[in-house]
Amino acid sequence: MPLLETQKMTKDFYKLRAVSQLDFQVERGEIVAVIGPNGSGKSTFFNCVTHIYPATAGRVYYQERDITGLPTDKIIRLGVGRTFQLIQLFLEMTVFENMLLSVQEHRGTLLSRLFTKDDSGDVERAHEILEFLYISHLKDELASNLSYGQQKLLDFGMVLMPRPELVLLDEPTSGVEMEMRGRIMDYIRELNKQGQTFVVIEHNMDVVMNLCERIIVLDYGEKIAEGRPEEIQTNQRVIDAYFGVEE
Amino acid sequence: MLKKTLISISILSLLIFFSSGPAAAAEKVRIGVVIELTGAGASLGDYWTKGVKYATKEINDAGGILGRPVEYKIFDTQSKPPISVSAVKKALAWKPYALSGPIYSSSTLANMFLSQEAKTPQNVGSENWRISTKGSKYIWRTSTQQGFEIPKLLSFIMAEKKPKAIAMLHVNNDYGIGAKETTQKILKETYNTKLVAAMACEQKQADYSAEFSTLRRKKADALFVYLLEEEAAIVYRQVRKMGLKLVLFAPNSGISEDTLRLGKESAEGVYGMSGFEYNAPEPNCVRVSKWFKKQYKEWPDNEFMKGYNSVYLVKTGIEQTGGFDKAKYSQKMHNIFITPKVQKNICGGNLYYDDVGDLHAWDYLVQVKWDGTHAKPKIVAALPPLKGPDSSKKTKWYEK
Amino acid sequence: MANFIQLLIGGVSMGILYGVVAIGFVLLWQTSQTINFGQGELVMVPMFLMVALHIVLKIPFWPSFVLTLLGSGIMGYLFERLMIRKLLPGGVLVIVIATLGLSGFLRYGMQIAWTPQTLFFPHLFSTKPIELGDIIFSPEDIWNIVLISVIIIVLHLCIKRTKLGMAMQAVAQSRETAELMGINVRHIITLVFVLNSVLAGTAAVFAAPIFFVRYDIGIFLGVKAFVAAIIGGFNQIRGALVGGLTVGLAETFAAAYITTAYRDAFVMILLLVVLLIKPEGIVGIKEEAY
Repeated sequence: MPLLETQKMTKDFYKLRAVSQLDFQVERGEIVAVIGPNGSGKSTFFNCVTHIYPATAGRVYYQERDITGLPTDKIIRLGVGRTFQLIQLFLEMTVFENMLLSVQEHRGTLLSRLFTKDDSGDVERAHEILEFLYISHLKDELASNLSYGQQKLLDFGMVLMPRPELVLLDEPTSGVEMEMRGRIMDYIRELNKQGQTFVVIEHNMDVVMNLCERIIVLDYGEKIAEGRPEEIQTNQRVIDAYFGVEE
Repeated sequence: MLKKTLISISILSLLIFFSSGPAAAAEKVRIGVVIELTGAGASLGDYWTKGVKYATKEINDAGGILGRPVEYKIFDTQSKPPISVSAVKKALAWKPYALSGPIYSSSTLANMFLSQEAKTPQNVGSENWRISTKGSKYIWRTSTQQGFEIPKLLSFIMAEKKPKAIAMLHVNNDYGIGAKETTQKILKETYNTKLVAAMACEQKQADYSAEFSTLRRKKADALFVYLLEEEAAIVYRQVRKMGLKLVLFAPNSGISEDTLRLGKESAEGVYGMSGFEYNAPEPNCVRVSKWFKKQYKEWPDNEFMKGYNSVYLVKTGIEQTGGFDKAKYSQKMHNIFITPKVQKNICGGNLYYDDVGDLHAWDYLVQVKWDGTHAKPKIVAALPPLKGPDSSKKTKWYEK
Repeated sequence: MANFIQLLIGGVSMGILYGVVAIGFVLLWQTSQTINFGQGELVMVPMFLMVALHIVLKIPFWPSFVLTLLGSGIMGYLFERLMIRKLLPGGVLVIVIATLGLSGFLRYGMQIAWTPQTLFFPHLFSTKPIELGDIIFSPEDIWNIVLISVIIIVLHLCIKRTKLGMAMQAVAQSRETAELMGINVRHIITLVFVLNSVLAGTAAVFAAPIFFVRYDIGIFLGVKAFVAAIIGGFNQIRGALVGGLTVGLAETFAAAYITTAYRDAFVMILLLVVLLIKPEGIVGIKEEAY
């Protein structure tokens, strides 16, 4: 059984079909890229998987379990992490507080959390991740004072905090400088080796080709191609979709 | 189409069935009770309504008024003058013989022109002096107005307590402002002095530190508490709390059962004027109060007696007229001296109504005593009315 | 000077009471974008509960107090679960109308079910005035200020220092992000409603000896607290407190130094001025337009 599977997932916005009959599978331990031109339904697909909004039709399975229609926070607590194109942070809190918040609901009951501050394990892990992302010196800054790139890294770090088994990343490297980009890729590979599975939406083809073992291409909400990087590079439908077909 | 017609016909027939036609109306003496059922005056309105209810039952049990039973219907003013206007309009549309209420002066001042226009007697519980200056021949009070109450109270305080600096707290509405004007006038004309401070207070006001700081600054040694029941009780409590040493005196509202129930021991020593209190030395007040105590497990506020009298006034007027002509009623009920012989159940002893519907009756000067569990007004003196046959009588002292 | 200090004590003791009710407005607004126009009734109902327990059933003060807070909490829980949760997707207007309806229901329900009369409530603390030179003040005022301050400080620490408090802040800042972090936003909202009710219940117990207990006291307190929250800043807990104190002090000082006749008007003028000059409130933070 795959770790994540969608069957005939469809999402309509009124009359516009954003995702169409999408069958998608991710095996444990994979790094999969989802690519496609702007507006091809990549982010919508992520949103339907994590139930940011409900899919019009189709089902989602995670760890052999039907999670269609479960509330977002519950899906997250089942071990799915995700980032957005637009960074999601608590801007009026410090970097460190942001990191700890991202993991709190995974621990303890409502009552126990009323009386405790933070688990030491989490503190250490937060330090570790921040260290790796080169933003540990900013840990007491308010998130709103960070640069765009730094916020992006923090967002990435927050998603990793609860050690999600499946990580959905929406353009993790856009707006991040070259050196950091390499570092993020290395980190993803490292975590992948430790057993975490990644699905990445990405525009940067270098990242896609270097990082991913399998690529899925969407166009107008439909899957038009699927395969290893070198197969996709030469696929005529993909080229048409990206560069247009001459009439 | 058929269905619609059927429905309309059935609704229509139901309406006709349930609405009392003019024939039915003529059989009963209708009284529209326009009263503070909700809002700030709800507590008073509740006493008043209970009074109306009791009087109605008594009269009906004894065969009604000239053989016709009394029927009443309640219209809520929400304690707000504009709403009271529409309540009176609604009440008048019900075609009553007379109106009973409201209590709040601001409401009465706003709606009294309607009863005047409709030539329908209105027995109100308000005490603002302006009401009797409006020239309506259809308005009667159920208690003495502040213009008569205040001079009596001041004469006692000035003679017995000899205060050097009198201050006043008054509620910021027609009832309170009217009292301030009256007090200032009397102090100037009779005693050649004036209030050191007159401060308007809001209803529901709970903090009086600003007022008290002025009292201290002006070195007041007597305070006229002209507030509504609840606020008066709060002021007594705060006066004690802040350790102010003042002679406190108040109108009816300041020593009524509703106030004392809340003020408890802090009301000890307050002087006040009272008309129909449950402990007034008058048989009918005692009788209806005992009934109330038995029924509701507490002593009634004077509004209960006022509401009760508002119905008995209608009975008196109709009986004096010998019929149901409202114009004749109006004529009969002015310059009338109602003694127990005229109307045996009415509260308050000898009541004299002058040519503007003002009530002149005996008032009782009381002082509040705390007996460890209850604060009770104790009668110090009975003061004769300013006008009417009893005005020539002397003050009766009960204790001095 | 003595006069000034006395006024200050009077103003603060009222203001802090408005403030604690206003904090509830802010908590609800922050976490669930709801405006609860039944806030005053959440004070009124515990007042009656306190009378029922302490005066009618003659249960000693402290057990009655605890039971009242418990009752308040349950009321807040039911309020959220049975009403708010279902209406929340309808937006703020639906909530406003629904809570207005609920407040009327509770108010007049209490009038009919119990009494339209004002009920007596004894002083909680000694009423023997304390004299310090020229300054005379009542222990009741001081105790109110101290105890309510303690409650506010505890609340502040819970929100700033505990994990759950962090989650509340997170939900206040961004519901979506909080959800994505796996925070159960529904639990947090329920919790905040319970917390709000308990705060209101606390205010009720302190307010009862000052105002007495009456079915329509909620309108008065609710409006004062709402105005306080707007003046101070609707999106900041300290804003509610600043607003409450501002209203309390403005009332008292305007009444003492200008005139007592329009004390409520001064507060409304203050409200207008704040809305014109700094619409987000004295310490409020501008919210981005959506």
